[in-house]
Amino acid sequence: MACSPLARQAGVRLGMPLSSAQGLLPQALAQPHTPRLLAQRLNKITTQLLPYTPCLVQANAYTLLLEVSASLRLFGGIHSLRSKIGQTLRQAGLSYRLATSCVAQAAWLLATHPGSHIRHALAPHTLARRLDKLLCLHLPAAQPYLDWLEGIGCRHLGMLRQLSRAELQRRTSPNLLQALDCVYGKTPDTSLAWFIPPDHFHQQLELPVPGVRSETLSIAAQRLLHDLCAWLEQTKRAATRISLILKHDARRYATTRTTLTLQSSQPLWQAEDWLRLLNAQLAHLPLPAPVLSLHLQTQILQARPTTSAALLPSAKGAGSAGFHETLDLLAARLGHEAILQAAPRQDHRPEIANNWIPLQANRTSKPALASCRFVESQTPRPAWLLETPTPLASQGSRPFHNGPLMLKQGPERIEDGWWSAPIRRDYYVAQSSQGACYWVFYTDQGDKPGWFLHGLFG
Amino acid sequence: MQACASLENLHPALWRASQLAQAPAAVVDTGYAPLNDVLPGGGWPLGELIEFCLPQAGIGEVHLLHPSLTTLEAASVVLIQPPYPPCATNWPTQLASSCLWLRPQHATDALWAAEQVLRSRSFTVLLLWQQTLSFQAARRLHLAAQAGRTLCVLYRPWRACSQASPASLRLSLQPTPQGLSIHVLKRRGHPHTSPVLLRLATRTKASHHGLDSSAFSSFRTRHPHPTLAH
Repeated sequence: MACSPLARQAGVRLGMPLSSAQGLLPQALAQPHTPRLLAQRLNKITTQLLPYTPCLVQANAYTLLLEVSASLRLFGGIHSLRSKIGQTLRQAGLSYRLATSCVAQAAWLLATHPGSHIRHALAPHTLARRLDKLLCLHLPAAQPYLDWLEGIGCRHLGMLRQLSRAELQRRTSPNLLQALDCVYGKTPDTSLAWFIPPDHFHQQLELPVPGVRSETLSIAAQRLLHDLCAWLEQTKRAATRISLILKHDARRYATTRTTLTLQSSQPLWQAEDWLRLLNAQLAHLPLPAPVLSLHLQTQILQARPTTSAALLPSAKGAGSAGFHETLDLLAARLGHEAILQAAPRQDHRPEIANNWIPLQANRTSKPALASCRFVESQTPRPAWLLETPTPLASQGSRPFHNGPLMLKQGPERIEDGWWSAPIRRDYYVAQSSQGACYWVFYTDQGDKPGWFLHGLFG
Repeated sequence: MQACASLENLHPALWRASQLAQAPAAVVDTGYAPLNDVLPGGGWPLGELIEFCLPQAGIGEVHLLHPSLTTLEAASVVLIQPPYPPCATNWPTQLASSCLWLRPQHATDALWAAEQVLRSRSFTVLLLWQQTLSFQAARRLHLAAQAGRTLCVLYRPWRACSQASPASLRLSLQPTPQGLSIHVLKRRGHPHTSPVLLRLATRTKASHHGLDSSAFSSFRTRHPHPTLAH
């Protein structure tokens, strides 16, 4: 379908079977040619050219029309803009043909027309002069009538323009006249639709060799993350949740995909921040099968926050920027269930009041305030509270735990839960002979009345 | 000619072996005068690894730090792999809602998390419990602690008393009927051999915060209090 100039020098021609091409050049790379890949590539190039102008048209799978009249002053004129665009396209590794004109369809025609001729036509009279030399063969609207035009000897667009309009319309169709007028800039073109950037970023990368090591996956994901951040930069947004899907060979392995979700409490738009979270997860990810391709897509986006700094530098707030990032990093590696935050409940029962919840993903900058108000209490509470009270043996009337315990502080009765599971406990602070203090209670309810150990005073 | 009083007072920069070494950069008052006298700088050093060796949990090892937490006005406390579930209401008010309890599955994850917390310099206090810790891992923690000003305390079992450790301050705590008996195993300067006895009588007093009991009292209102209906 297409071959690079180096391949053409070696003797590869269009239409040649793949085997003979590979016989001529064993080290040549053959890439598949599917519409999906073409569309992807076009989208990628569009994203790369968006910094030059926001007004783009994807005319077909091989053509992009850019409206640059608003960007001329920023980039220092049409010629410097042309060279910059050319540089971008060369860096992307593409061979291209660039044409400039004051009319979009004329620029398209100038670019697609083969042969060496000047592809610049900025002023309308220059445009007319350049277009007159082009062949009718390359005007899409004239394709059905080529035989007839050849027969009457009308080969160039200039000749076509000189024909009588009414006769031409009668013999061909109004479309041809309309196309001709559009190309020469006589009538405005309404068939082109502006490119609207998609809401979410979605890109995939195929690995040349199935990847098994986390370093390979990290390097491949780095490229995707850089493209993501370039896209975020253009749309002036930041992401709080992105997902990376690793696809495996569906024919050989049971699991076809592994999904990694990277979540951050703060909106992030730098590639290094996302890479740090990704590496923390990749380091401990068990891969069920070698990875064939990576797909990166954004899930939650928001506008980039504008930072307002305080007038005077504050000593305490210096580290607040790293607080959330560290928590995100810890959550990425340990999992959200391994990090717990205190959220005490309003209840007299100590095991219910002592409530710890997993770290919230959407926490605000201040730590979440507890739902209950704290007041000074006259009764002691231990530093360590067992999840379920352990029954203790009793020696006489005193509890026994690695030795007899002496009851130091008087009973505190807690009765609660009358609607579901009533409890009636007398809490004491008991001290062992070595000096360690325990929080024990005596209950006469339930199937096992007696002494229980509920906490340790640490 | 001026006569020197003695060779020791020749110059203020002359260090005598009976002096404590140069104080650490930042210290926080421990809240106990006998302990302040024994520690270099007169308090817990910030930005250094402090090691406590205990025979068992629940002897007052966390309560020992409570006065210094109030002095520091600590904003965030991280507990990594504590021996028992912590009680949220036991901490001073401003900390009760910003305590973080980390319980990773493996010890390597716990050490990694401790290092990240120390390096970020955004947390005030880090308490880490480890049963076995190699010298290299302890050294890494010490270096990470030196990056910031976090109060970093490592709790280890009793058998670690005889093992070498790179921590700059090592204490062994033993329970007594009146409170704690603290031996200073290692500190900057000359060693301290006699134990420090601390009374933790306030340990079992009301240093914690209970729940708002006004929500439960409805004696004066004629209509049932709305918060009573669950």
